[in-house]
Amino acid sequence: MTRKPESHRPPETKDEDSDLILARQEGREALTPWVGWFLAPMAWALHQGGGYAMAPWLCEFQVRWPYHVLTAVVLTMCAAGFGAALHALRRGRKVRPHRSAERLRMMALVGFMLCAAACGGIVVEYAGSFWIELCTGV
Amino acid sequence: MTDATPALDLRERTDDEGRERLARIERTWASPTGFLGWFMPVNHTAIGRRFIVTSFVFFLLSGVLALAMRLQLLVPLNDLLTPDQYNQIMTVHGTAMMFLFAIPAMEGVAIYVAPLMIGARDMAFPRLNAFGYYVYLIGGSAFFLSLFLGMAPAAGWFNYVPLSNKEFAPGYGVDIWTTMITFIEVSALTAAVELIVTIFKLRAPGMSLNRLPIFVWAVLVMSFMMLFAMPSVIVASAMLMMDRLVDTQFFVTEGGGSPLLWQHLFWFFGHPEVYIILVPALGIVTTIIVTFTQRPVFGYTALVLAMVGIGMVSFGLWVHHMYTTGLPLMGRSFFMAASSMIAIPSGVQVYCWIATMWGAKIRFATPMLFVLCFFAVFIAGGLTGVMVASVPFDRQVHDSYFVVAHFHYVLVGGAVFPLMAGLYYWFPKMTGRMMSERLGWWSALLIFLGFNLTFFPMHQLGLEGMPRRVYTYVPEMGWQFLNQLATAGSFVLAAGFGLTLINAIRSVFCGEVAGDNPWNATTLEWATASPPLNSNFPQPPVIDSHTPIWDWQQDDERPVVGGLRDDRRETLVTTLLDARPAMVQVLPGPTPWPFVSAVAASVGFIGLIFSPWFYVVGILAVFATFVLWFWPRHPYREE
Repeated sequence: MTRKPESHRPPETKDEDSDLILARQEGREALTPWVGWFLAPMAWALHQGGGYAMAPWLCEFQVRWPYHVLTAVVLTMCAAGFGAALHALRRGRKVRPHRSAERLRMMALVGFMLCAAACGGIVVEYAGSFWIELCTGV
Repeated sequence: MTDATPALDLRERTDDEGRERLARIERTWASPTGFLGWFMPVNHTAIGRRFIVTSFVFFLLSGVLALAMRLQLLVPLNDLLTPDQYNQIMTVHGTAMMFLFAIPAMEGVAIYVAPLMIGARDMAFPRLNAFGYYVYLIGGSAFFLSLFLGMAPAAGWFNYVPLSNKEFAPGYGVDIWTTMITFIEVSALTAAVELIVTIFKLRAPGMSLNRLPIFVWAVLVMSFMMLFAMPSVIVASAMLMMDRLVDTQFFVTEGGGSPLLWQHLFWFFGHPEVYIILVPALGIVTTIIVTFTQRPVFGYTALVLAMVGIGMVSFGLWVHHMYTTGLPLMGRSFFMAASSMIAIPSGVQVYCWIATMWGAKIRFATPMLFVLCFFAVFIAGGLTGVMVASVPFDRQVHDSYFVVAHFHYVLVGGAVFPLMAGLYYWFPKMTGRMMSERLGWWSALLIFLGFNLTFFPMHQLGLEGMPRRVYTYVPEMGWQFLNQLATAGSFVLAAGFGLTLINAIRSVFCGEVAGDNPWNATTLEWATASPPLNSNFPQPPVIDSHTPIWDWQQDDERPVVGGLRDDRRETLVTTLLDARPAMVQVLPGPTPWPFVSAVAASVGFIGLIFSPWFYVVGILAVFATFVLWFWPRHPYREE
C-alpha cells in the first residue's frame, strides 16, 4: 500500500486527536511508577563512579566545586524520582480496577524507597568529604 | 480465553475425552528418550534438573579438593601436597565453587522452579536454555579435567595479574582459566536473558507484578545482576587471554597497561557475584518460611524493595576488595559507605522473616531447619562483613584467614544452607518422593556443627596473622591447634553433606510418595503433579492473590485458561505489568542443535587455549550450526 502525500491526507478528526492524547497520557502514566526505579540507581552510580573518577583531578587542581555540582545534580535526579513516585502513589488511589491500583502503588512505593536509599547513600558519601582529608593517597 | 467458570483440572477428569486430551498434551510436550534423546530435551524441568545435578557433582569434587587442602594444613611443614599442587587445588576449588557450583546451582533451581511458580508451560527460549546447559557442562568438565592433566591454573580464583601474566604463569593453566570462565559465563548470560523474558512475559493470567512470588522476584533481580556483572569478567578474561596469546599489553605495566585494571574489572563482577548467589537464596528462604509457618509473608513490598536495593548497592562495593592497593582516600571512603549501607536491606529482610515467624506455629521439617542454620551463619558472616567494610579494620586483616572465615560464612551461610533447604523442599516436586526427615535432621546438624568447627577458628587464625593462600606454616607460629580443629570440622562437614547425598539417592528409589503438595505450600509449582507433567499445567491457572493454592482450597474452585491447542507446544503470553492474556506463542520442540552448537563453540574456545586461529574456526563452526538451528521448520509453519 502506498502512502498518501501529506497534503492529500484527510484532516484528523477531533476524536483521533483525543485518542492520541489519551494514548500518550496512558503511556506516560504507565512509565511514571518506574521513574524512581531507574533514577535511583543511576543517581547513586553517577555520584559514586563520577566522584571516584574525578578524585585524582580534584586533588591535582585543588578544587572541590565539581564534586559539589555533581552531588547537587544527582540529588536533583533523586528528587525527580521522589516526585514521580509520589505522583504515581496518589494516582494509585484513583485507578480502577483495584488490581491495577495495587500493582501501581507497589511499584511506586518501591521506586520511592529506592530513591530514599540512593539519596541516603549519596548524602552519607558526600558528608564524609567535609571531615576526611580526601586527597590522602592520591 | 480465560474460562469464566471454575473448570475441573484435566488431571481430575475421569471421562474418556478428558483422559485422551491430557494424553495428547503430554505427548506433545514429551522429551525424547534413549541415548540420542539425552541430547535433545528442551523442557525447562529437564534442563533445570541437569543444571542442579551437574552443579552438585562439581560441588562434590570441589569439596574433595577442600578436604585435601585441610589435610595439608593439619600439621606444620606438612608435605602431603607440593606448593604447586596446593596452588592448583586452591585455585580450582575457589573457581569451581563460584563459577561451576554456586551460580549454576542457583540458575538450575531458578530454571526448574520459576516457570512452574509463575504458571508457565516452559521458558521463553527453550533451545537457548538447552544450549546454555551444554556450554556449562562442557566448559566445567574441561576446566576440571585440567586438574587431572596437571595443567590446572594456580593463580587463585581471582587470577590477579601480574601473577597470571605469561611471565609469571607459563603453561596453559591461566589460559584454561580465562577461556573456560568466558565460556561458562556465556551460559550464565543465556540463563539470565531467558529468565527475564520468561518472568516478564509468560506469567499466568492475573499474576501482576505485585503478586509475583518472592522467589521469582529474587530470580528476576539475580538475572538483571548477571546481565550487568558477567560482561565485566568476560571482557577482563578476554583481555588477559589476548595479553597472553597475541601479546597485547592491557595489564602489562611496561607496555602502558595497568594491573589494577584487572582488579577493577574482576571485582566489578566479583562482588555482585556474591549477591547474585545470595539474592535467589533469600528468595528460597522466604518461600520456605511462608510454607512452614502457613501464613503469607510479612512485608511483601519491603522484601521486594530489599532485594532490588541489594541488587543496586552490590554494584557499588567492588573497591572494598582493593583497599590496600593504594587508592585515594576519597575513593575508599565512598566504598566504605556503600559497603556498610548494604547491611540495611539485608536487615530489612531479616526483620520481615522474624515478623512472619512471630507467633506462628512453625513446622520444623528439614528445610526449615536449614533455614534456621542459615540465619545463624549468615548473620555472623554479615557482622564480619560490616567489620571488613571498614577501611582501618580491613587493612589489618586483609589477605588473612579472617577474610577466609568471613567469606565462607557469607557464601556457605548465604548460599549453601538455603540451597540445601531448597533441595529438601523441592525434592518431592522434582522426583515425586519425600526425603528422609531423620537423615535430613542429622545432615543439617552435622553440616551446622562441622561448618562452625571448620570456619570459626579461622577468624582467630586470621587475627593471629595467618595469611591466606599459604600451603604450610612453621610450628613456631602456634597455629597448629586451630588448624587441627578446622580440619576435624571439615570432615564433620563432609559427613553432613555425604548424609544428604545418601538420603537423596535412597529417596529417589524408595522414598515415601510425595503427592502433589506435601508441604501444603501456596505457590503454583505445587499446583501440578510431582514430578511435574511434561506440559507443567495442561490448563494454565488463573490467579488472584499472593497465595493462590490456599485461596483455591478455601473457595473450592480453580479457574484455568482454556483454548490452547493440544497438538503443538502453545503457551500463553501475558502483559508485563498486569499479566493480562495478550497472545499465544508456539514454543519449539526437542532438537539436537543446541548440543551441536555448544560442541562447535567448545571447539573454538578450547582450541583458543592453544592457538588464536581457533577463534576463527569457532566462529565459523558456531555460525554453521546456528544456521541449521534457526532453519525455519515446523511448528513455525502454520498447519
